[in-house]
Amino acid sequence: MTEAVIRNKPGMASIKDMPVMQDGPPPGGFAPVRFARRIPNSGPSAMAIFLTTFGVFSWGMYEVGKGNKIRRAIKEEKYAARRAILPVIQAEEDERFVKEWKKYLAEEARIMKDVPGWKVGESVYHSGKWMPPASGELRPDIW
Amino acid sequence: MDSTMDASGEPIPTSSVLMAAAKHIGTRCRGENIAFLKCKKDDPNPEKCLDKGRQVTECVLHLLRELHQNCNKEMDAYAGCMYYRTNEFELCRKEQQAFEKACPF
Repeated sequence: MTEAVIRNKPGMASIKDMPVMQDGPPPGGFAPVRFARRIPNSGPSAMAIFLTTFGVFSWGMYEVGKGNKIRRAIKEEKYAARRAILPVIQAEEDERFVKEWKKYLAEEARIMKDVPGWKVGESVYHSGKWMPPASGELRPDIW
Repeated sequence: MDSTMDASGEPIPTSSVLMAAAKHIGTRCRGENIAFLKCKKDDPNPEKCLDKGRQVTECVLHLLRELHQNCNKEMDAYAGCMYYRTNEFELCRKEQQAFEKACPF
């Protein structure tokens, strides 16, 4: 009943004659819309793009090389300083070690004094080179 | 860390003081250092290289005393900066320049 009230056309015989109510284009149709591709052929050529890329990359690598040189110089300075002070530190440690080692040998002699044929402080290795002591007893503060 | 010398006038060889003076040590105590390292290479036994080690220590302590005498303030500033910046040379350039201007090696 409501449709007949809204879409009423005066003088219609039945509801089959009601006018059509639709959303449609304006009279004369819509304006034309372009949807065709238009990719221009202008701009830099392939060789130009390649040379620009290669040039930028080369300049970047050159800057990287410059930076590496500077960083290497900084590291070299640090290493040279360490090399310069290494002997002092090693000498101090040697003094401390010899003192502790003498105490250790005295203790070993006291413990093993009744064992026949025991050579105090004898190296446990056959290579002939001096090896630092392998047990952790000499530096209990570190352990 | 306030001073590179302790109360009795002896230099304190901490890592920051040694790193601050490293270039001087590298040039002034070069002979002793090389002799000690050669001795160590021949025989790593500490008892065999004690005398050369003592020469190295004497050279370095003597050098530290001399630096303290000649450019006390700059050396303390540089060693203090090294202590603050954990021995990074790049962060202490100003103090380094002042120190090397005062005591060239």
